[in-house]
Order: sequence, then C-alpha cells, then structure tokens
Amino acid sequence: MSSLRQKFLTFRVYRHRDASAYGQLYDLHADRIRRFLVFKVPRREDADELTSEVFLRGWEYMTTSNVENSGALFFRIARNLVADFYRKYHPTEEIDAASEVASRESVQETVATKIASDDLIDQLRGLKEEYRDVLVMRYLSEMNVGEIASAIEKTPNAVRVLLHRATKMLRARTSNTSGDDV
Amino acid sequence: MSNLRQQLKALKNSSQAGAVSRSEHEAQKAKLLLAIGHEAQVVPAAVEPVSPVYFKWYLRNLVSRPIAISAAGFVLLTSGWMTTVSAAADSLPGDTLYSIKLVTERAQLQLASLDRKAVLHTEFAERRLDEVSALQGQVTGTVDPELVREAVDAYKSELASANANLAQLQASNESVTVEAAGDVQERISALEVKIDAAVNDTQSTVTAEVREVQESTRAASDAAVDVAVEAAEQEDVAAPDSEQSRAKLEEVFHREIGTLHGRQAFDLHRVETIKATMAEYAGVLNGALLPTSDALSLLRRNIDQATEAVPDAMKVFTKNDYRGAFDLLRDVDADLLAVEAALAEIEINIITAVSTYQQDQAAEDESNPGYTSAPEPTEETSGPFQSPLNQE
Repeated sequence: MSSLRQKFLTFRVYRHRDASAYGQLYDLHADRIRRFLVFKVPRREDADELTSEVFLRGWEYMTTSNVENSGALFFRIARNLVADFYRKYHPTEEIDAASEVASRESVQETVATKIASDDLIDQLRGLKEEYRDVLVMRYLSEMNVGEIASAIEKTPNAVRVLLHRATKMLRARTSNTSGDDV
Repeated sequence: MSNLRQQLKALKNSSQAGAVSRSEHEAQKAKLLLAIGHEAQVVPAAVEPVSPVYFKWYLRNLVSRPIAISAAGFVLLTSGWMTTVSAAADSLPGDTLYSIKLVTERAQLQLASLDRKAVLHTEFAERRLDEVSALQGQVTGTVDPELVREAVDAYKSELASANANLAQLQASNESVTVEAAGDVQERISALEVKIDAAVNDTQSTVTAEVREVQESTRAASDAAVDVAVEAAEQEDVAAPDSEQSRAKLEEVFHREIGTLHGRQAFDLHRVETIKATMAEYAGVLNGALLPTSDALSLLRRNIDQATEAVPDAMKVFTKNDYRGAFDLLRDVDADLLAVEAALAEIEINIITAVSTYQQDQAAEDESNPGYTSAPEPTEETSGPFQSPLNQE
C-alpha cells in the first residue's frame, strides 16, 4: 500500500473518525504487529491480546491527533505495551507448548517443516532483541528497510547494519546447532 | 545464506511466528471495529481511492503551507525592513536607528540626478534642523552638546553639498540649472522662515548654534541666488528668449523680496517689544546699559528705510539686469542685518538685567519666608523676554 494511500486513510480517521478506513489500516499493519509481538511475549494468546490493544489505543490516538506515520505509531504503542506487559507479568505459568500444538493451523503443517521451523523460531527467540526485531520485520513481515527504520525509529543505514549483523548472528547459531547452512 | 533467508521467509506461515488465517484475521478485525464502531460516524463516501477532499488537504499540507509560510516570512522580512526604515525616520543623533536613517538618505542620493540631488540635500538639511530642535527640546535627561554640535555640522554640510551640486550643474551648463537653483533657494528660504519662527517661539537668548545655523542658511541662500543669476545670464547670452529661466529667476527674486519684507516686519515688532519691556521694568532696568528712546526711534527709522531700495531693484530686474537687481537686494539685507545685530544686543542686556533682578528677588523670598512681597514681577513669566533661566 502506497504511503500516499496510508496518509489518506490516516486523514480519514482523524477528520471523520472513519472506522472502515481504520479497518484498512488494520489489514495492513495487524500481521506485522502480531509477528513483532509474538517474539516478545511468551504465549501466542498474549500476542493476540496485545495486538488488539495496540489497535484500540491507535484508534484513540489517531482520532485525536494528526499522525504522520501510522505504522511507526503502531510499533511504538506495541513496544510500550510490551514494557507494560512485563511490568505486570508473573511467570507462574510455564510456556505451554500444547497451546501451540492445539492451534488450528499447526495441524496443517507437515511434521518436517514444523521441526525445522520450530528450531529456527527457537534460534530467533534466542537472538538479541533488536536483531530479532529486524529479522522478523524484514523476512516474516516483508517490510522494506525504510518501513523498518520508521518502525524502530532508526536510520535506514542503521537498519541495514543491524540486518547484516543479525543475519550473521543467526547463521552462526543455526550452524552451531544443526551444522548446515554455512 | 540465501537458504537461511528462505527458511526465515517460510516462517511467515507458521502460527508460532504469529501467522493467522484469513478468517481469524477478519474475526479479530470485526471485534476491533465493533469496539471502536460505536464512536465511528457513518461516512457515506466511505473510502474513495484518493478523494478530492483528501487532495485538497494533502495539497494544503504539502504545497500551500510551505508557500504560505515562505510568503509570510517574506512579508515579515520586508515589512520589518520598512518598519525599521519608517521608525528610523523619527530617530535622532545618538539613537540606534539613526545610522539607518542616514543610510537611506545616502541611498536616495545615489539614485538621484544632479539637480535632484541639490534639492534632496536641502530636504535632508531640513531634517538635520528638525533634529537640532528636537535635541534641544528633549525634556528627559541632559542633551549631549556633542550631538547638537554634530547635527549642526551635518546641517551645514548638507547645505554646502546642495550648493556644490548647483555649482557642478552650472559648470556643466545644464539647462535645468536656473530651475534647480530656484528650487534650492525656495527651500532654503523656507528654512530661514522656520528658523526665525523657532527663535521667535522660544523667545530665549539666541545661542551660538542658532546664530551659526542662521548664518550658514543665509549664506547658502545667497549662493543659490548667485548660481541662479549667473546661469540665467549665461542663458540670456546663449538664448535671449529663454522665458522659462527668466520666470524662475523672477520667482526667486520675488521670494527674496518677500523674505526681506518679513524680516522688516519682524524687526519692527522687536523694537516695539523692547519699548514695552523697558516701560514695564523701568525701575529694575535703571542700571542696565540701554538705548535712549531717541536711539530706538533711530533704529526704527533705519528699519523703515531699509527696504526703500526694493522698488529700484524691481525696476533694474525688469531691464534684465538680474545681477544689479539682486545686488540691490543684498544691500537691503546688509542694512537689516546691521539693525538686527543692534536689536540682539539690546535684548540680551534686558534679559540679563531682568533675570538678575528675579534671582535677587527669589533669594530675598527664601531668607524671609513669611514676607510675601514683590508683586511687581507677577507678569514676568509671561513677559515678552522670558529668560531660559526662569523656565522651570
């Protein structure tokens, strides 16, 4: 979606409190935000819940102020919510692998890819937070460098450097564990 | 390496990596819209691809606003400059903005032709004169005599520049010389009137600066007349029928006569005032060095006779002997100057005597506070010669 169109939708939301325009912004950003959150909080359910919360707060904010970049706003809200989440979080419950197995999509995945992807996800989770964020945004959410830069509030060059280091780091980790992909 | 990237991209569809099905996404979206829906207004033209309204808004933000801002900036800058210049117009020597005033004047001169320059110099001379009187009229604080001095010098140099420009015009045989000299002379004689009126208004002793200003003004006026006469003579030789120059010169000539008559009337008035004052303060002025009534009558007669040469000058002028006509007027001028010098001396003597008396009186009042006497000088403050010493 072009940035002009995003600005138009943002304008509709601000001027007319247009819920359908906000729906289109949700279509564009919800996946990215959820992926971003999935790697930050222990459970998938928490990520879903926080995603909803991000867009509720985004609506409140965007209907009262003229926002330049809606994507950057959602990511900022998401980061703040994660911080709030860990402030209240008491790790009494173990990370429940069963919940993931029980999710509807998981049954459709072949066993082989599931094992490979589980491994990669674990490696991703083990990475430094900023490395993980850029990798998820770049390869899972398919955002371009400019979008990532505005989302994490860094310059495009800094994002390129981060991506390079993150890829190198992930490769090192995966080759240590599995020995392939050198 | 590309393998790793492909693996990462493949994770896109993994639910563990946050992927959701279309239906799940729609369900969550519906929940969100329901949560915000009660606040949302129904907008009929829901979301056009890019509506004209948005374009208007976008243009305003992207194009109109920067244009408006730069236009506003430009207006502020230029109006700031204009305001500064107009504010500087009222500034006095010693003010911060005074140099801007001078710079604007120099700029005007740079753009003017030679004959216009001469006239401009007289305009600026008038400004300097206004500055001198404003400086001396300032109530707050003490006036820096240096500044007054500078303003007087500037006034003189403006007049000198005006005359220098006229001389240049004359040397280059410009046809506009007579006209320009006439204009300059007109303005200078206006200045003379202004100075005399100011001196008359304040009724204080004529300071050295004022006398200097008067003298330089008179000299400048004479110089301008000289140029006008000479240029007219040159033109007469070259083109005897040049009516325009003659008309201008005639204008100058009549103005000179007007000025002389004005001075004559003013001097007569001064004589009357001196007589009245001497009568009023007869007791006080006993010891002062004062003219006898005969001497005053003689002065009066001199003033009356001073302008007798004017009709002769007019006759000479009609015979196109401009130089002779103006020379006659110069004689009248010299006679009046001699009388005015005598009058000034008498006035100073009277003022000195009266103010000495008033000071004595004041000292006496202080030593005898209960004693209220001295009814005599009740009118002294409104007297014709109010000394600057008793202005409080």
